[in-house]
Amino acid sequence: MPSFRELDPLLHSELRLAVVSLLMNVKEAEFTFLKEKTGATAGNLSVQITKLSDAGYISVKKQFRDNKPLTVCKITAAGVKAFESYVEALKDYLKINRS
Amino acid sequence: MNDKTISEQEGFLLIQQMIQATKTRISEDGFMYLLWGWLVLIASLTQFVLIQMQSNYNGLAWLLMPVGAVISVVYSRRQSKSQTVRTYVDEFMGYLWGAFGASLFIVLASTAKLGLASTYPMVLVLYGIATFVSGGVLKFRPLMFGGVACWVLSIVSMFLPFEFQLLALAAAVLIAYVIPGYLLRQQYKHAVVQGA
Repeated sequence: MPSFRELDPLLHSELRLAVVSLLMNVKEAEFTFLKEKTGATAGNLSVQITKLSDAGYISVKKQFRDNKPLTVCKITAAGVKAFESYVEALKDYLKINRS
Repeated sequence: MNDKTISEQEGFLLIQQMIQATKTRISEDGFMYLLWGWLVLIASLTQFVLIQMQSNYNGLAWLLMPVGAVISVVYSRRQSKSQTVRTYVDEFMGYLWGAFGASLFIVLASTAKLGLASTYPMVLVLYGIATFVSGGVLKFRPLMFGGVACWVLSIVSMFLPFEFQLLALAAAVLIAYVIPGYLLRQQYKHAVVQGA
């Protein structure tokens, strides 16, 4: 059995990986942007964002605009590092699978 | 999409899809280029005509500039309200045009020191920087070409009397702002229709 790095369980989930991938490419994004691009339900997305935020992978700012609540998400340095090692682990996995 | 675990291949595919989703976002509708392009074009040509008519109030058309500034502020506020994402390009553009505005203000405020004959060539140098860099970042060649045109017209205008510098300025904003502005708008409308 070839050994490979374990995939970060926090990122190895469809919606959380999608959120982190989106945030890797932008400076910051509002909740509505993430919802639109992932097609997730607000409730589910909210739960996953909290998980990522608790892990320190993303930072979440709650603001108000025109008296409406506004959630702005941004990836953290820890999140970037986690994403990069996740991609590296994926590469290892695919390489081993191919050989 | 939900929180189910995925296969490694699916992981790669998903990352790729999300990169694509942020890449196709085109936020540049050309409004600012058209606004300032037309305002400066009208102001410079009006001043040229008024000088030919030997009017003492030939600088009057530049009163359009504060109007442009007010429209710009209102437009930017509205834009940032409807924007749900801020990309690194958006952030960079904010810094670039902010720096351009500050530099332009310094040059225009120093007309007395620089001399009237040197002011517009300096303004054109600044136009060149902001336009060329914007074109490079947006990967939009007409703007890059416009930036180069500003630099060429800056050199040319150093050898021209003041009233003909106004024509160089008019040509510069036509090539660097008005034409790319319409092309950007066309591209933007096309992208919106395609649902990008």
